[in-house]
Amino acid sequence: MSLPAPKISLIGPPNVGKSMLFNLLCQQHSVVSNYPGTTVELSRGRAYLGQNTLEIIDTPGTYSLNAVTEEEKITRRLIFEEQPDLVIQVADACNLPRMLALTAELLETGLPFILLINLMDEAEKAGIVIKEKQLSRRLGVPVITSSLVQKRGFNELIKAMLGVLREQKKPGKIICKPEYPNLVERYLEESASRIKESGSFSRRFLSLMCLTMGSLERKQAQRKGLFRVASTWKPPANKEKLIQETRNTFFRWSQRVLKGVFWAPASPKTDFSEKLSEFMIHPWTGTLVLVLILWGFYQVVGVLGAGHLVDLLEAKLFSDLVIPFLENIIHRHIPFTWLQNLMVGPYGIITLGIRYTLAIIMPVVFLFFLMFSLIEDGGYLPRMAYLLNSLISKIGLNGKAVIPLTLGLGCGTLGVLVTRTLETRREKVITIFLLSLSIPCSAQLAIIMSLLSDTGTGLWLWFMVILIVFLGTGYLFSIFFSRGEAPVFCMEIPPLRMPRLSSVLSKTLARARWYLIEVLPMFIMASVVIWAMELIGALDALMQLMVPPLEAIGLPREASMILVLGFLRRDYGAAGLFELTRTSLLIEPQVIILAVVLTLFLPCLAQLMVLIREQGGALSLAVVLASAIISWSAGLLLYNLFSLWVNF
Amino acid sequence: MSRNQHKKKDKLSQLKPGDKARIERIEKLPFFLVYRMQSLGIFEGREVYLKRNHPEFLIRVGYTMIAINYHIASKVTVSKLPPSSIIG
Repeated sequence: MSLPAPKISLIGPPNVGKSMLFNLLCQQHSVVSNYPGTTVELSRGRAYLGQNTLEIIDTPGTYSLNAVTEEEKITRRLIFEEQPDLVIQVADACNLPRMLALTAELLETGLPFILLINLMDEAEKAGIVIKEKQLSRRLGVPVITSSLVQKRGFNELIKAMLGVLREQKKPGKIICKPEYPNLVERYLEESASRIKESGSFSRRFLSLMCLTMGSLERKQAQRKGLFRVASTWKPPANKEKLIQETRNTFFRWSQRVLKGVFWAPASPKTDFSEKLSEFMIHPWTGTLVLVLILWGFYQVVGVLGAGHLVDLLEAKLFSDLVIPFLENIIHRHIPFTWLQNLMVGPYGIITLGIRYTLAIIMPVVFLFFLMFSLIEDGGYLPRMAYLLNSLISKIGLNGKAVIPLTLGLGCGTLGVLVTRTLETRREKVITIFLLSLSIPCSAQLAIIMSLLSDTGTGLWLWFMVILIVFLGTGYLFSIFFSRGEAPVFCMEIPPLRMPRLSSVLSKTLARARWYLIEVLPMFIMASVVIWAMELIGALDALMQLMVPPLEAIGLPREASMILVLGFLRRDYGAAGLFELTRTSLLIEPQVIILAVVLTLFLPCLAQLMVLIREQGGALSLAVVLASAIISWSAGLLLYNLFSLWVNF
Repeated sequence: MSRNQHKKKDKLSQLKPGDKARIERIEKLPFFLVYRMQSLGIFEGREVYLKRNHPEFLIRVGYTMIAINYHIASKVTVSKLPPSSIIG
């Protein structure tokens, strides 16, 4: 009979190294990021330490168990429902005072606990001194200092972990308890008396937690037998004030606990990273830095990736070698034409699906993720948000929204997922609209750029139109959805760090792997769907339907094919456009119109499916309709404009 | 001036880069925002150092650098500290 592996949860705010610890323990590669919002769900892994097998659970960034954000609710549910055998709080050494507020709450749960004070390398650089042995005595739990990035403290942590698990050591006595103001005390006493059963948690702790538990959460907890409240229990009217006062209390407590044990110099030294940071956020030099970075992206992703690398893989490897070879084999050994078609026909799984994925999309997307991970690891993204906030608030968005929007340039699906980090629904909705409508993904960008760059002004025109649509729709939405709320922008700017190669590579690989796993099946499915539709004639019917509106904007019948493909996979459409141009069926203005319409047209199938999952069918339908209408209107406008000079 | 100057209350938005102040009160702001600010260390009683005021406000509280916009800064009441104060 084997016992289940002990559960160990890693809890703490964003950017402290939880995910790095997770990776060190489990030899896995969850994506570690420098800005909040990357671990958006629990990650579970197995750690094999000596003869012990442990289950490690990484949580999203948590500031308090009095959960306000979705991520914190996930962490709290973990504590309540799974009651881990050991809780490791990972804290930032430089900001230990505010980290201890969470410690107070975790100690209240009574679960076995270890405090890991990480980022000691930065603390030492700043001249901060921490007496962890004394702190450990005061808190009644093991306290370990570490610098995981330098691999320091890891072995001590393992020893402490195994020790606590072996002896099932619960937290000892703390030197002093938090002193709540009368307001909170009164609530706690009153509420505790209404809690019927409390399981392994103290009634006072549960009263505190109830402040931020919705009725649904309470009912669920009760159903699972965790605790029971009297039916007369109601959340107090001054709930928010109570929560604020509680947090103030924990902070005052942490200052008392740390007296004499934590010492920080009067003011932080100004070193090179400070100066560089200044350079990046000053309006003039900061814009220069941004432009430089964008240029860097263009060079690596556009020129190297979409240009040379794709050329190498697509033309020389696939088109000249692999595909003819496979075509040969398939034509010889597979008797059925329909099957041959499915595999190597014009929309075949191999000729379209796999070729485009491996030879055209992957190189570009991989390089984009590489560049993105590089600036992310260095800590540039919050500074970019800081710089652009005033601009982007004109279209009703928070500076934080630049992050999903930038990611959308790599893959729109990923951008939609990251909108989870935006606070208000309104911001999420506006950002999603912009992503689906006017942010081309790198796959699409690659092909359109290489296509239009021959046409001289074509590329600029395309860019201007997309930009106008982006700003215009953003502005309209912000007015339409406005509730007269004042814009708020509040963001931590973590210190600039030198990007670490291992970290950048692991992030890039994790993202590329995600892309391949999530998106490649869609490619294959898309090939199959198109093939099937072609077989039963549905493809033709659909295209016939689209011809009239397309002719109204000066485009040939073949364009309908491109748009249908473009929906299934954005880059298919762009690729189709490429093919069409090569066969010289289009004149230059038509190419531009089609490029614009294609870019603005529906989000690709993968993105749409994520959208439905994240925000529901109604919003997704609105996005689909809006993009269809806006893309056609933009095409119409351009057509009328060009008609002044050209005969279509 | 005969009035006692050292309890003068200002708004955070009125401070100039380089000023140090103690946070006295946080006025009416959405709950989740105050929660976020507290999580980053912005509490009543804490000392804050203003680094920049454009394009947005950049403040340092403890060892944390935080960017906030004008709207938020205008809702935080502070009392200016003489320049020689220690940052806590």
